[in-house]
Amino acid sequence: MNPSYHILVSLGDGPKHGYAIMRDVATRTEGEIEILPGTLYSTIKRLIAERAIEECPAPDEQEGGFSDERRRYYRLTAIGRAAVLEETDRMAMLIRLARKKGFATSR
Amino acid sequence: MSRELWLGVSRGLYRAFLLVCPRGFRDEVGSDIEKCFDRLTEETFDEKGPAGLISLTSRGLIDLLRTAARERCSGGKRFRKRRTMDRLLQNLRFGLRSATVGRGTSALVVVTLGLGLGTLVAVFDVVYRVLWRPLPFEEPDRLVALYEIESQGELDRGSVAPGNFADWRASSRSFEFMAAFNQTSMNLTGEGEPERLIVYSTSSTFFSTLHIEAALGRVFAPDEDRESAPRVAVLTGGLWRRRFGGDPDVVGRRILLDDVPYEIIGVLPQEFHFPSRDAEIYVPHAMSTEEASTRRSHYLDVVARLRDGVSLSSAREEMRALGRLVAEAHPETNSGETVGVFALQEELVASMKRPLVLLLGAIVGVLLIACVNVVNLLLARGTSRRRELSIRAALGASRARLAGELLSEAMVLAVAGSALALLAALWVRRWFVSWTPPHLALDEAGISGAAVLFTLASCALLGLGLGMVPALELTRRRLPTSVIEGGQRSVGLARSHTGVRKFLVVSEVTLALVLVTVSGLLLQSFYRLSRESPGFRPEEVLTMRVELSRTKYEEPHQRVAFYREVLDRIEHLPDVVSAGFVTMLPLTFQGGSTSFEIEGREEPSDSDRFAVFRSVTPDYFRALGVPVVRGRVFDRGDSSDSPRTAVINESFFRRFLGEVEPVGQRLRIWGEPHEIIGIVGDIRELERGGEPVPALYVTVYQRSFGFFDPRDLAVRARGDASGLARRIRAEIWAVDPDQPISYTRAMNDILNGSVSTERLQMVVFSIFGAAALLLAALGIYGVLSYAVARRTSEIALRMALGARSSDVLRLVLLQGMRPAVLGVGLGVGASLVVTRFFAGMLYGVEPNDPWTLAAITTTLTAVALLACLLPSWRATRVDPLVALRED
Repeated sequence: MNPSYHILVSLGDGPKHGYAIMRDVATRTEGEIEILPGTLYSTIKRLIAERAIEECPAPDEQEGGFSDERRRYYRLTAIGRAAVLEETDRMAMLIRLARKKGFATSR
Repeated sequence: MSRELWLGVSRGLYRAFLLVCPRGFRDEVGSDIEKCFDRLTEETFDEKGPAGLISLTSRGLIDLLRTAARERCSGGKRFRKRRTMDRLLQNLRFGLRSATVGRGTSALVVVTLGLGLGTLVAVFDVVYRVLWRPLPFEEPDRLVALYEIESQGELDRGSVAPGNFADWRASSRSFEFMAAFNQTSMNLTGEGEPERLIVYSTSSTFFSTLHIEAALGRVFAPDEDRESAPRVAVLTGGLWRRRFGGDPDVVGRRILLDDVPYEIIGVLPQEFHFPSRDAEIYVPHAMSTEEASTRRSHYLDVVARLRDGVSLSSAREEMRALGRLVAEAHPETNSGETVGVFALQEELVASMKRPLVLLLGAIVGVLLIACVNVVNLLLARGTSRRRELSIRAALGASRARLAGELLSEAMVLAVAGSALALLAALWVRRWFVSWTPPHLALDEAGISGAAVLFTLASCALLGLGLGMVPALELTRRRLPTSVIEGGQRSVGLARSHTGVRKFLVVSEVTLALVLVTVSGLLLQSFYRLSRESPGFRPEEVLTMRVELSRTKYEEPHQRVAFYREVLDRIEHLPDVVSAGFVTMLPLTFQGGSTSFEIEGREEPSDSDRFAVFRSVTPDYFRALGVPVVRGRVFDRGDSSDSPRTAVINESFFRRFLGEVEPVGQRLRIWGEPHEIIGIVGDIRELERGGEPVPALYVTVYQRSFGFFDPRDLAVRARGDASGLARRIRAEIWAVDPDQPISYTRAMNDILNGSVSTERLQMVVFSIFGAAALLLAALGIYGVLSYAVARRTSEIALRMALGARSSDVLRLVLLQGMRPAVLGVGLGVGASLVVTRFFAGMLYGVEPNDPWTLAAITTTLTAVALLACLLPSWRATRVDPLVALRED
């Protein structure tokens, strides 16, 4: 599992706070991939340092959640978006090459 | 355990583990991580319950450890961080290495911890399931039990009269539903063998109150408890499987209960057991107008569900006020009465609370003793490495570094011990459950999630606790080096450990003395209880319940004819000495008394006019082996045409008749005069312990006494009675093929069953007492051996300077016995306090019984002395030259 990739993909459709990223990954992968708080924030910290994502002001609509405490929102930067595209292409290519060799996945 | 407690424990553990992450990381995103995890725990608990939460917590903790490792190995201060991480790993490797180097000691530590903690976890699991686990109903904290309470009297939880229940239900506003129920029994006939079933007769709102749906068919509709409603029944899952083979088409079938047809409308879920595990069938409690308004008979149990948002205290206030209103409206029956509202969960486990909590306390005591021993073992092992530690300290290793290593070693042992504990817990729990009364509902397999969480928490605590003492003690002050200060065995250093050692011995002996005293008292109590004569001879007596249907045997003469014919047939069987029927056998029924008047005497005061009341057939006393003290007992001549007669027991005679010649005295029972014809010995009718109670016997052959008419049969045989059961049943069925027969047991089994709780307490506490004694002896021996090992060179020096063996022996003995004697003193004081909590569990022995305390004090002192002797003797064998050369 590559948590960075999943976090970046998760932010593809707009800014989110940490918990929303976590839930989105779980829902999108039907529970196959689980990112827990420790890994999530440690990866977010690294992605910020690598300028793949950045903190941003909270969107207007407020969902229910952490009482009245401020939550930090994150969004994808251009670098992050490029990284996701590149990584997706790379994985697609790997799968294509493997299939050519007769490695069909079982799922 | 409530949702909040579950979440609290999970979050607490998570926050503790978060401390493993570097401070910088925590400052930056720690609070985000915490909030995120908190929300995750809430959602997980609500979706998947405790099991999901445990799984999430475990995964979360592992994730944190990984994150911590990643964070410590990366970032700007990479080199320093890596060193820290390396050190952590190094400590862990050291711990593993140390644990495998001294294999014998390590194995001893792991086994000690595993067995001690395993027992604790097993009992914690039982305590959790019985006392703390929420009831298996929707929103169980909203369920309450309601009682009638005498505000001035002693009745703190009385059954409810139907009239009062009707008023409460009509006028209260605090409850969403309220239901009444009572236990009865009915004969199921018409399909297969006739059978007596435990039936609960309930309001139609019973299942709505508990929020229980049928697994098959439906539960009662709102109007089904009306008198005119068709008769319907709901089966428990157990009865459905046992009696109807789990037939899915059972709904709609008709069955005969007490010869009345009922339609089966539903089957309950398999796991539903309320109000007791022996419930088999539920029927609506259809009350006549007269019954529904009565306030003189109190026999209903009442449960209710609080409305959403209504607190227990506000419901209590409302019901108190309502109770006063009802009392004003009906002063003749309700004067001084009010209403009590209690949480249902508390009510169901009230009787088990004290024994279980005390048991848990006892095990914690044993585990503490075990921990003291483990600390001592680790200290001793540390001592043998003291020289290595000294050299490393001299070469610049910090105290934190050395302490960290020792702490890791304890952690590794605690983890191994906890793993073993979980295995041991499974085994101990199985054994423990086989000893517990069946109504505790502990038949589920495996250990609960709460117990696993408890083990994890104990493991962390044990690791820290066990490692802390050696880590602090062995790295205390600047460590001397063997090179500079003459090694590890200087007198001064020996003294540096004295405080810790003394504390270990004192605490062990104190704890052991308390535990052994408690088990000694329970042992005596059980011995006296089981030695006390029940007032009859239970050997070779077979019993069974033969309860006649009120519908089929409506007239008294029909019942008498049945008893006579059955007894005639049974008494003609070879090997039968005599047989008799009785209301209910001794020790199987906690009530059944009547008021009476003694002719020619003034009316006795209220509290003095009751006696246990039983209706029997003439040969009952002979069958049970009850001695006739004076006069005679009933015979065939005492029939419905002859003057009414009564038999009393010795307690009745002593209490109510005193010096007067009893035979020939007349009693008025149920409005009719009865002549006392004889006195029998005191039978323990209600319970084994306590004073015998006055009892009054009449014969069913003279008149019917409704509820008191016989339902139990006792048969005395020549030799073993168990082989007779089949033949006796055949004779009963020859008289009435549809007659249910249940509870076929030897009288001895009833007698043994009556002290099963006491036996369990005695066995469990004896095991803990023995374990405490053994562990304490091992502990004292270990501490002293360690002390002697540490003082070898000092002893050698003393002997080189002319000390005799006897001097050395005295020195070491005194060193060991001083703290042991202090522990005994403290233990006696603690026992006097602790045993008071056991007063309710004791029979025939006082909690502060001086003989018990003296015997146990002597035993423990002797054990301590024995444990001191071997190391002391070994000290006298020290060769001065060898010992001094070593340094």
